[in-house]
Amino acid sequence: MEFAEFLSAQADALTYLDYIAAARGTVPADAAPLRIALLRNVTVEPLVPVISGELLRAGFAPDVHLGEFDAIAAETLAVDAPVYAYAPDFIVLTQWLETLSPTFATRFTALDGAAAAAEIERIAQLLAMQIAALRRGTRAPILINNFPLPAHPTLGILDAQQDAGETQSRLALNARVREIAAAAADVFVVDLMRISAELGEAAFFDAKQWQIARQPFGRRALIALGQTIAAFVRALRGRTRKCLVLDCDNTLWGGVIGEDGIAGIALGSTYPGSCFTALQRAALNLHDRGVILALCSKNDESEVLTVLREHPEMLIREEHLAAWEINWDDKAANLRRLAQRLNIGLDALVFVDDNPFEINLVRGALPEVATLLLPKDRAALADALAGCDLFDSLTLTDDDRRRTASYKANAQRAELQASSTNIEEYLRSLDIVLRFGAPGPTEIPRVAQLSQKTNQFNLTTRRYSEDEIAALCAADDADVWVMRARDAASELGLVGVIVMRRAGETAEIESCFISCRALGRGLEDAFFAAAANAAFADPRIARVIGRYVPTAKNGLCRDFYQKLGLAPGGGEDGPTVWTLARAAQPVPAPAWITIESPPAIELVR
Amino acid sequence: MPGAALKHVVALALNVDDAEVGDDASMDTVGAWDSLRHLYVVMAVEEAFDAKFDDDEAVSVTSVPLLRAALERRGIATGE
Repeated sequence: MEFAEFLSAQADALTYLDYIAAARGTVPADAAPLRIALLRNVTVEPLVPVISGELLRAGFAPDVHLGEFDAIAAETLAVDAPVYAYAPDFIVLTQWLETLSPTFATRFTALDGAAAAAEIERIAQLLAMQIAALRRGTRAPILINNFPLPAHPTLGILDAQQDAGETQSRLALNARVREIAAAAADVFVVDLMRISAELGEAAFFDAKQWQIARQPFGRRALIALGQTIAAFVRALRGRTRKCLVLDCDNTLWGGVIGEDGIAGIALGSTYPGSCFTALQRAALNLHDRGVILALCSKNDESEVLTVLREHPEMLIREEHLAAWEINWDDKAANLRRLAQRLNIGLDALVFVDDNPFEINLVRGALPEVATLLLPKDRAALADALAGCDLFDSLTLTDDDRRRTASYKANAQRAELQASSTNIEEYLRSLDIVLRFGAPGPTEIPRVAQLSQKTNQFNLTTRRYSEDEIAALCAADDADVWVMRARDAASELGLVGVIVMRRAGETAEIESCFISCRALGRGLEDAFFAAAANAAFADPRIARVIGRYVPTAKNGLCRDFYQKLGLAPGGGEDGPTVWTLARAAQPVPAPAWITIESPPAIELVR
Repeated sequence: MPGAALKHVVALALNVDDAEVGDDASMDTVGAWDSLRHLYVVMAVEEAFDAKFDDDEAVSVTSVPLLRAALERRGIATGE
């Protein structure tokens, strides 16, 4: 497999050999450097090529620091340990239960109930201590793993009859692992239990490498573990895909609508239609998580719409779809159009098709689009989609659940706009309301998520964790402002964030990021005006400063401050600085937007 | 990996140029081939040729001829 092919290949098509071969490839020049420290209590060297390869595929230039064999305690407790000098962006702790607790893992019958519970707590405290030690030296996100269930419980069939049998105890330990991660800032659980369940013991555990070299993972487990670690990095670094684009014939249903007709396509509760019903369920599960659904199909639009509206077994209906391109143009052109209409990047799309020709065409023409070629085996369709980790995110908010509705409203607005001659008249007719204020405690996950996922309208592209946002909200010298928006067509939810720092006479906008689905109707201008006016509500503040830090993706907001009339304060090609001095009048906002502010701010204004 | 060449697979596992792995290459002749890298070799060869070595084979197949012999005992051609 060529290196370029490796970078865009479908994850489930890759072999261990592909990963080790990728070490010969040339890292793309635009890849962002990423440093991962891998601390472990077993041999994990063969995992390194998979982690590196997956990070390359996610657009990073990885560097991996491997801790000494089974030396996590020493390496985390010493303030001058190499891991701190390495300054990692991510820390991965890979720990195997047999090394942590030989008795608990291999001699469970030697423990009575109280001793087993005590051992669970001892392991839990050990993990908590490692995390606390690491947090004293680094703020990098930490991944820890839970533990696979015993394939052969020591009590055999009796184990499942026991109150605190070996399997139950392992689950209890894993529950403690989750609690420990949740109690610390930016610590996440890699679900090794799930990976072992997916692969089965025979593929997950390599008994031979374990006995010979204390390397526990089979090669498919190494691949799955490396891919999972990369999914965390993507989620925390804003590389999560946002939109699932589905083909129709032999994807959403069996057969070809243009030939078989609405009565002839396979869909429903009995085979083979049940395979396609299962795939639609998997797609709806993604929809419920906030993934936008769209269609891209070579068909007559009217025929597909008839199926969407009238086929009694269709689960996916128009209401679930944000947009579609159903015509006879090539799919690359249609995907470009979809991205444009939905106002998202091509690198936010995952394109699903049963036809290798279409998949290869898209891979060649639009390498930014992730592609998923469905298996020939129809019974495996749903699993292929459910196993796709490209949409994986670390938060799930109410806004996610509303997402398709607002993207769809956007696409409708775009159509209205095209037919409208007077843009301002059109915007007025939308009755746009901006609710401005500080985020409530329940909104903090959404604020962090937006910082991690927003790439295009993001002035400085700083990523924040939930804990960082909470700290900023509590700080005396900082403000976090959020924009919640709605209009006649839909509730957009929380779609914009400005982080401001105050020092002396200056309020500086540290970050400003706005979801692309909110753009194109002046909300960004109104949001800036509201935030600037909130800053000037403090009589000590004489100026508001904003910065633009260019990235590969945020050209969209390069001229934001300039268009708002801020004065340039340095920088041309690289980062630029812009200043707005206090004036007699409040900073104006577009006339067609109603701004609702909390009373305190209203009063000062 | 149909038609895979054993020496190429070994070179990939050792992360060295193909030229460094000759017909008689072994742990003694290739600097990168240490006991840790040998784990990659076993894993890569098992995958490429769809074979599974016994534990005593896994520790003893420390050269290209020994790997080839172990594969041929299973009736697997090594593509060379």
